[in-house]
Amino acid sequence: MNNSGFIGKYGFFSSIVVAIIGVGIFSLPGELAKSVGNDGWLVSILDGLICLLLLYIIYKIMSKNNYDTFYNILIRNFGKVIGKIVAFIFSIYLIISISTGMRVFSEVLKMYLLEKTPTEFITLTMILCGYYLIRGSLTNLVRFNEVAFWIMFIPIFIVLIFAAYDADFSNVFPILNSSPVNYFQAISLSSFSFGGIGIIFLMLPALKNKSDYKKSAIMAVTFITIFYVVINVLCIASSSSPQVGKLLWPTIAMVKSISIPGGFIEGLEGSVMALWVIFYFTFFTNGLYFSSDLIKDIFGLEDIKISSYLVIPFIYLIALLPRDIGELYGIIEGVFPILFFTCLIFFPLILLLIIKLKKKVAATDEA
Amino acid sequence: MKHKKLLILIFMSLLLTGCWDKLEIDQRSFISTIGIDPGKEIDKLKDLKKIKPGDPFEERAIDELSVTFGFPDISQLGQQKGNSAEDKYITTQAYSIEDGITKSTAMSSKSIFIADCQLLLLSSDILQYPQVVKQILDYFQRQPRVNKNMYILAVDGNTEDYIKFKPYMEKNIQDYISGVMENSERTATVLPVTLNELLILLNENGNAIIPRLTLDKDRNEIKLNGIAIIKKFALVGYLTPIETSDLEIVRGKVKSGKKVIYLEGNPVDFVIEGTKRKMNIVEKDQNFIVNIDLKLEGEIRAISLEKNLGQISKLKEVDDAFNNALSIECTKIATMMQKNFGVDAIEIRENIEKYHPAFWKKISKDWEEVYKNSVINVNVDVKARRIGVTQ
Repeated sequence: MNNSGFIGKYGFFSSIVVAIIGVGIFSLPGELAKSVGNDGWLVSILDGLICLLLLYIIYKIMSKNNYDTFYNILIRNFGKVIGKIVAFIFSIYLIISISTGMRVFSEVLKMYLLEKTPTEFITLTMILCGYYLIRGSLTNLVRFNEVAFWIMFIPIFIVLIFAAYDADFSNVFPILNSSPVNYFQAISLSSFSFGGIGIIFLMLPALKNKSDYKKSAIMAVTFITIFYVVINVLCIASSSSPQVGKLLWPTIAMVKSISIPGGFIEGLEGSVMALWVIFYFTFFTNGLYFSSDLIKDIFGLEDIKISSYLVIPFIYLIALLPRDIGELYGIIEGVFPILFFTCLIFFPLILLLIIKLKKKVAATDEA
Repeated sequence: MKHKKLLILIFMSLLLTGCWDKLEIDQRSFISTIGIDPGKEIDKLKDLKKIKPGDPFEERAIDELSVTFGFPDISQLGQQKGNSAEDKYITTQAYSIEDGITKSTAMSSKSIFIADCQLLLLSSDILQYPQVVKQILDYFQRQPRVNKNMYILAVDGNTEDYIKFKPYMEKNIQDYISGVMENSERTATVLPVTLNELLILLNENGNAIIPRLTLDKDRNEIKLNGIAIIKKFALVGYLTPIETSDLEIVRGKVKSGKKVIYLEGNPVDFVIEGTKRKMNIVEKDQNFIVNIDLKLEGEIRAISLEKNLGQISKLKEVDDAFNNALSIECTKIATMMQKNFGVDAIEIRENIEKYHPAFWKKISKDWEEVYKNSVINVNVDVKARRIGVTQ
């Protein structure tokens, strides 16, 4: 077994969490409320279960290939040409997800904090900061994830406790009141909330002790699922599902409506928005590193520093491409589920099938 | 070398401030109150439908609103001067709130900043125009930088008079109203409604209740005078303060308040300290019966020196008298809301939606009809836990 990695148990756990939770959290409760009303939290649990299944598939693929890097596994099993194409599609998926996220992030920031700052400027500074971080090695990125995890979640949970103060939790009733078709639709719509799960392909080969994988990964997915469920329930409880469905970013609206008795803290949303910057930043840097890493291998480049030069202009362009917020969410809702199912469900399943077949062929050859 | 690096870092930080639209704090008027009245040309509202989306509009804009912005006179604030100031105000005729802000900015030496607004006054006249009410509320819902916790009130007459008004206890109306609203935990006749709550209620079915403010010009005082009932985005009627407190009790939201009965010619005050509400809905054919059980706990205040409440039977007598009186009062107010206004302010609809989803699916189409024909029974169970320190 290849045990030459450097990522510890906690580093692995926190990297998965911060790489998955991104800007999707702003709009997730709204998207879910539109399709399934009060049952958004149920859909999040279903998403979590699907993710656990994915964890298992990824584990099978990686362990059967002696925890090699994702690119090498693709080349070994698909052959050089198809392997490269698959890796390329995968990196396109990553680039689209971080650049649409970038646009959402800068729109939200512009709306709530920096009214007159141009979107281009926000995008550019974010890209430069991210580039600076990934110029270091994967070790630096993981260290950053480890630190960011606490900076992100301790304040957020404190804010969420305040949000629970005035909430009417009976709003989650009635449970299971939508038609099954709506639930499927909601699962496909909300796939973006777990879209960053592919980061495991990057992190697992570098995990120090491979036997830690199961526990850390399951813990990470459980943590994310609980976080999504809490956000969904609080949004529904602090207003109601018709209102949540109407808002573009119900999570921020929820934070904005917090009124603490005595009023010793006002305008919580300012500090919360500052925290979301880190939420997006970790999502962005992890995605950027992974896509640059793939591009480096595909084009046989020397270093990630060079390949990220190739990736960055596309992120900037794709982020600024949608004409308005309607078009942006059109892309996210239309293109994203397709890419998600191709890259994170279809490809891994095919990969697993090929691995199984190869094993069978090898076994019959020996016989 | 070290110094050089340090210098570069210091100069870099100058470029990284990210400040894009510098606006000094004293260049802003922080709006504390917004008042909205019908504009001079509100009668021409019907003509608006004739305008096609592509037509140029600015030249013949119809000023359907009259928007008043009240803001504290910052020059009165300071360390020695105190933390409250008298209001100044600007009134403009506009076709929308945004237009009002633009026009006011043009009239004012400072830029108008509404993110910290604490109070929104809607004139009862503007509440007659559902189309305009929808426009106004959409503006406040769409704006990210609006204080969603601001209080909303319906006022009789012109909002400008209220913003001009100098209350006896505070320097401006916004401080006064906020104070009264925050005190609402001590009295049941005031029912505070914030922008956020109003938007949630209206998004569900266009019905809501908001507190009503009246101005007595002869005595020069303003007072919170019950609530205004809004149905399908239009004002349909008012409740008096006593009816409001009854409604608060039926809603089960009352935290404190008092009720009175007469015992042998003496008023007996019962101070409510807590409410518990249970709603039971029984389906009956196409309609339903609502049974509301209210448990009130509290304390008896003054009666009369000669009276002795120490005996169990006596206290029970008082409790029973309250049960009877309050049950009748509460059933009356619930039925009045149902029959006269057709507005469900006691969350019967929510209750059916949440706990009887199958029944809701059946009746949701003609909810209004079903609601009007249903029966509401309110049962009050009063428990006077304390009687003070005498028998």
